[in-house]
Amino acid sequence: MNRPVLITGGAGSVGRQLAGMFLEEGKSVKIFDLPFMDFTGLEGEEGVEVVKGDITDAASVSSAVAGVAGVLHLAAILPPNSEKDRDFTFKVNVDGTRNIAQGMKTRAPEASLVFTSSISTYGDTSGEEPPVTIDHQQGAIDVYAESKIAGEEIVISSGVNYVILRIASIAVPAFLEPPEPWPFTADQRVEMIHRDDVADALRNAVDSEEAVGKVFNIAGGSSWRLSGKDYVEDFFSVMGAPVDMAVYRETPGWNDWYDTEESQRILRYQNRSYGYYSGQMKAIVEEMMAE
Amino acid sequence: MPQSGQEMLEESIGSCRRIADGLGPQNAAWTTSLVEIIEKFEEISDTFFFKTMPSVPVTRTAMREAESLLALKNEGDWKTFEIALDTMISSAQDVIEKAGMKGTTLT
Repeated sequence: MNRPVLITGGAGSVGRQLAGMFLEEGKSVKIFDLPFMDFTGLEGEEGVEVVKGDITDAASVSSAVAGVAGVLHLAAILPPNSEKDRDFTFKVNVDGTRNIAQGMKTRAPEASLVFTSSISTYGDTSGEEPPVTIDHQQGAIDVYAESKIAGEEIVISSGVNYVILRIASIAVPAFLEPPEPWPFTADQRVEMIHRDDVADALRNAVDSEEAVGKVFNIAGGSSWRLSGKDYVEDFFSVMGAPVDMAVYRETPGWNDWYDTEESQRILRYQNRSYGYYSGQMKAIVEEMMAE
Repeated sequence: MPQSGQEMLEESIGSCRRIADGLGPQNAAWTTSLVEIIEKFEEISDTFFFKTMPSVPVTRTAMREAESLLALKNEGDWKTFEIALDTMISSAQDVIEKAGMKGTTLT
């Protein structure tokens, strides 16, 4: 049997998607997630090993990383929960990352650690000339970004083979409540990315030799480059909801347009255009209308 | 202008209130079910879903069934009422699930 890829936070939607991708290729996965998560469809499946644990527990992390082919580190406290308790967010997002890197140094020294960071680490770049490149200075404007900057530093200095993905806001093709407020102003540049393209980037990063030691911006590409207003108006139009309901941030957030030339060249993940996503959303609404 | 999902949900709540009012002597369980529907509908009435087009078909169905149920109550046709109430509960369940409250079970 081939060595498995460990997916932390693997019981979530992206983790499951990745697990499915590896299994389809005949590869095995190890799903690491909190014991109270729903492991239905994973537990007992051929090629899937479920490890119930907490990334803040160094011993269980060290045991989980032993002998894996690579680690996709997705587990994290995300906004808005990340903003409620800074200590807890750092415990999970920073100390948890340290546990993984340290465990890998001794128990999976050949493996690559793919760390899911965020474009939010650039802070407010709205007053600058786009696109934002990976060497742009980082400047957190929230706890989440602060924790991801600290996580990146740990990963880079750990000595493990790493790939850092600074992922843009993710567009999920599903009927979801809109955020309030939207995390950008109406006239701010916004470049999101389709959820499945994020999965492709993660999948391709874990065994790409060329990606090792690199930091990448992961965003949707040229078709996703919009203004906040364009994106939100499209969303409300598809939903048939009055756009005057939309509430934007009063000051610019951390969205922008990103330089993804290198990430796309190496990881080949920009496979779904904004038009494709819009079509999916329209189809979802039409299906709901037809029922 | 066609009615929005929210308007039809509010009409459904109004009809359910009129049905439940004074229904106790007929069947306490019916009243309990209707009160439960009213409470759930009120709980979810401000969600984004009811401001969207996909809410229209399900809320229209619930509104029409509530209107039919009210007519049956006014006619005193309790045999048909019982069957129609089951249909109304099922439609209400659909509304609640579509509004994103999966896992709520109406009795």
